[in-house]
Amino acid sequence: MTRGGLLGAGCAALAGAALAAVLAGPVRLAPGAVLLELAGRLPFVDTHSGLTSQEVAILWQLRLPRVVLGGLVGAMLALAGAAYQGVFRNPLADPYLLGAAAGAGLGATLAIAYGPDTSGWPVDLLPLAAFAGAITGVVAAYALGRSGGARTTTTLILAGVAVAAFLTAVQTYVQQQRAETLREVYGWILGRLTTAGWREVVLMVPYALVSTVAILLHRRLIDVLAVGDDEAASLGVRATRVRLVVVAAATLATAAAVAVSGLIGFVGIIVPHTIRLVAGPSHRLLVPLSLVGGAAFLILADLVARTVMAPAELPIGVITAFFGAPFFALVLRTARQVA
Amino acid sequence: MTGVELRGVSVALDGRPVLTGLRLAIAGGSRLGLIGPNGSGKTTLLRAIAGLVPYQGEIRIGDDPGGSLSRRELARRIAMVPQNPVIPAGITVSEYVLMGRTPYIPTFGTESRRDHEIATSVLEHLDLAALTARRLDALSGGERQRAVLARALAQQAPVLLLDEPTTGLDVGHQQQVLELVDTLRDDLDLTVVSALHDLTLAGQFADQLVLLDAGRVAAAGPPAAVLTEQVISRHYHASVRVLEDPGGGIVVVPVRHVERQVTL
Repeated sequence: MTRGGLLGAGCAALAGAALAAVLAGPVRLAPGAVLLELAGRLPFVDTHSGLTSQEVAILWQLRLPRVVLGGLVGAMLALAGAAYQGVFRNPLADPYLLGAAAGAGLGATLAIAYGPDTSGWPVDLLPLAAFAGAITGVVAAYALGRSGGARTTTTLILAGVAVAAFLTAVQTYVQQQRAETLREVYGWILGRLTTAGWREVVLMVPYALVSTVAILLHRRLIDVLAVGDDEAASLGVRATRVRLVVVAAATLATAAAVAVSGLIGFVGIIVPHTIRLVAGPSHRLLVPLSLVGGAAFLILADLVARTVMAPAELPIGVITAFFGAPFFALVLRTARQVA
Repeated sequence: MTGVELRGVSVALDGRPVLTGLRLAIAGGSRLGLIGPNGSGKTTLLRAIAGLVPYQGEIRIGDDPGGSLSRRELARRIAMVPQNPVIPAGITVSEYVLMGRTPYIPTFGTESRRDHEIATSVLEHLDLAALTARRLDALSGGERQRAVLARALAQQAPVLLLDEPTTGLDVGHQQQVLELVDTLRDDLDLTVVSALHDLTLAGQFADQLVLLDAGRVAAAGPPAAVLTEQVISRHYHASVRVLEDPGGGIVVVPVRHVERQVTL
């Protein structure tokens, strides 16, 4: 398939997933009416969808923000996964590498356990604490990984493992000390889009935009990094600088996603790898397709999470891990065969 | 044509001196062969010229000190074929060769039509046109080495550095690669500096040889002056015969001295 064809197919899959997720739920909405209602919000278009005011509220206040947020989170996790795997030349690198997840987990746990009651505040403390925690984790890992002198990517990943272990230990301690918050912390760690509203979308959009633009701009240079830092240098590319910018952007994307949705695993592994199998290893196509594919995948995963045990909801992390873990094993197998 | 001049160049890696006070003038358009035992500093010397390791002293590329040139500008003047090139999984030959245009592509831009044309002409020149869509990691050793050479040529740099370009190739492919480099040097007026393992090939494919030992120039000059039994046995600790090839050139053959064998 051509580049345009693949991108077109990806966008069609995303549109299909979004529409399915908007329609499905305890109150079933008619596809035609929903499309008319959505079209009516476009400038200079005036339609009468025939939806009741209750259905309009369900569409605009419940379903759509959740679908948009799911799409954004999925797009950011897949984007960050593709970027990390590219700059670290490691197929198993994921957005939670380098202590991002552990830092976010600690931040969120601290907010839940010791944070003040923020119900009257204009912004929630939890996403901010998770965001700050994720950034802190990655900065610590980066500082530790570079302090040894040997600036290999392996050192950096090992530093991430050390930082993650430490932060997780602190997080577990806090969690055990405040046992009454266990359930809430656990629910957050498994990831969820349940409290989604437009507020989370608004919170996330600026970070998503910055990261997406930065990584899209660097996607050709990420390809050059595939020949190693030394050969990249002999081609005129400063690999460490490219890696720093891309890691920063991917971390920002991860932190923004984690802040609003908790820890949703495996998206950053499954989506970029599936796309590589179809579209090849070049990041020029991999990065935009990961954005679209990640969004579609998470919207579908969320649809399953809220319908399979309805009216109860499964944490979405359970769904992505349920499909992700076997897939991960498959990737490992094929990676070993190629090597 | 761009020459390269080293003025008192020293390199230390992890505090250990690898090159010490090298002085070397490489004329534009010449073929210099770097020889020397393992660990004598051949690779480090090439890397210093390419600006890939920090060094003391001065290396002039053409009329400019290498230290004054940006990474991109260096990459436009010096192309390097490493001894063990990293082959990205799944990359095609044409994608790989196009990567050689990197120093000319704007940082956040993409290849121009001209970049594609240059890559195509290099692929044709190196007889790779039929392989453009093939995966690089599926090629034979000889084809892959030509592709690596093609990427370096796509850089259109006047100075070409080759680090043991014949590693892993059989004798026929070794000759083919070196003949190809020789033809290209004539066609494109390149200055070629190659680190070579095989002393006979080094003698055949270089105008001047520099023998490095322990980071210093131990001998330099035309092949006949450097490739002597005395010089080779002193610096390589090897027993060799240096023979005259009736067809011209020198042949270096290892010989076995039974009396030197250690009795176990």
